[in-house]
Amino acid sequence: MLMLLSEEKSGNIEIGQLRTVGSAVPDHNKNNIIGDSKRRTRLTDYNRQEVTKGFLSGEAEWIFWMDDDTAPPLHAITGLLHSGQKFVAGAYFMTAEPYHPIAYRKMPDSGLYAPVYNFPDGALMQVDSVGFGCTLVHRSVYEKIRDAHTVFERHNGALLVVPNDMVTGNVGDDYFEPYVKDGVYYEHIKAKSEDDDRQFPFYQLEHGRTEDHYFCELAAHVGVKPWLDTTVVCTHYKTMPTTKDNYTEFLLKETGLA
Amino acid sequence: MKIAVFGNMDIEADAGVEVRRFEITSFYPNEKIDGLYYRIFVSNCMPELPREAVMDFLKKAHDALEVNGEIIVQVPMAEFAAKQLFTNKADPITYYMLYGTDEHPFRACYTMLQMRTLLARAKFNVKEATEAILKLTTTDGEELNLPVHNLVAVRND
Repeated sequence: MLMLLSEEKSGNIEIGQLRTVGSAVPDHNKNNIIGDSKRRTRLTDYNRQEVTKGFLSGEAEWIFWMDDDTAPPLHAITGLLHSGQKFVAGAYFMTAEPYHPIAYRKMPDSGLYAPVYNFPDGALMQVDSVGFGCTLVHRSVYEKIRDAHTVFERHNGALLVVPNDMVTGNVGDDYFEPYVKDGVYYEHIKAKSEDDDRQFPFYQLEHGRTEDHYFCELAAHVGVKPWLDTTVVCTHYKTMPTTKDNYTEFLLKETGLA
Repeated sequence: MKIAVFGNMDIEADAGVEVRRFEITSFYPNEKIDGLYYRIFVSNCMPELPREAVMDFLKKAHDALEVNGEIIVQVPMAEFAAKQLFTNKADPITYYMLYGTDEHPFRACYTMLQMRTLLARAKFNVKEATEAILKLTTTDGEELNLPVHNLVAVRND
């Protein structure tokens, strides 16, 4: 709260609305939402979508995401805003070795993500994926994503988002069970019905990955990649706080400098 | 549109873009005579300035830019050079990064954080601060890879 007040006091930023994902119980963490005075028991992707829905229905230009286990520094929003980037995150660190910041680059040969590691202090760099523990996103990123994708319903009822330029032909009505032929997976999908009131799935927990990877991939489809500003340094709380010092100490030991 | 270049870098300007070259130790911009620049490149020459002259240079550069104009600064990575020294891996490139040459001696070296701080103090908004490799060609024609900090900052008053 002190951090948010510091932003208002600095005079450059007006905080429009607070939508909180709270956790008095440590194990529940950010998978519980307190929004619009209701308590729900949903997962992080659902909660992020609900918060996004509120943001997009309002007039705010930016949304600042702050997880309940992440403590950004004073003036974090101002710092991120000064970068001029539309999608930019502060650094908070994994709570286990090697304590790398939660930011990743996609490996071109496998499509898997590798953590950003061993960068100079003060770097402000484009990456492929970031966590949403301390992240500022401009409204236009969400709008571009929504406009450039089509939402289908998968055979199991889950929503599937596909870039418009990857969709050709018509959706058929003949249902079939998913199958694999010659190494290609086939699945029947159908158009999302008009009475389906689920939100555009900006965030999805799927394939054992966190929901922020999913958003970053949607954003990449519309030409927006996240930036990591390593001067906005947060503390990441689990049972113990993890700070940049943990990362630096481990890195120095690993490189033989400590 | 005008670009100002400090340092010995190759630059290909688009048609209609005027490129002016300056020595970093003698930059005296005059808006009435020269107008404003939309981009300023400072490549591998900031360390030639004495420390007490750095802020003065950055402030002049700031005022010489159009609003929304950019300054691009490349400086040898002090962290890299220090690491080479501390791990006993220093080579001629390391010493060049720290001391420059006889013709262009370096009077300071910069970490990324120092460079960002200096740019912020000069009222720039830093929009990119990354590592890069600068290709240098020696007088003997040898090609060298110089690790540098590459910072892009904007004047948006």
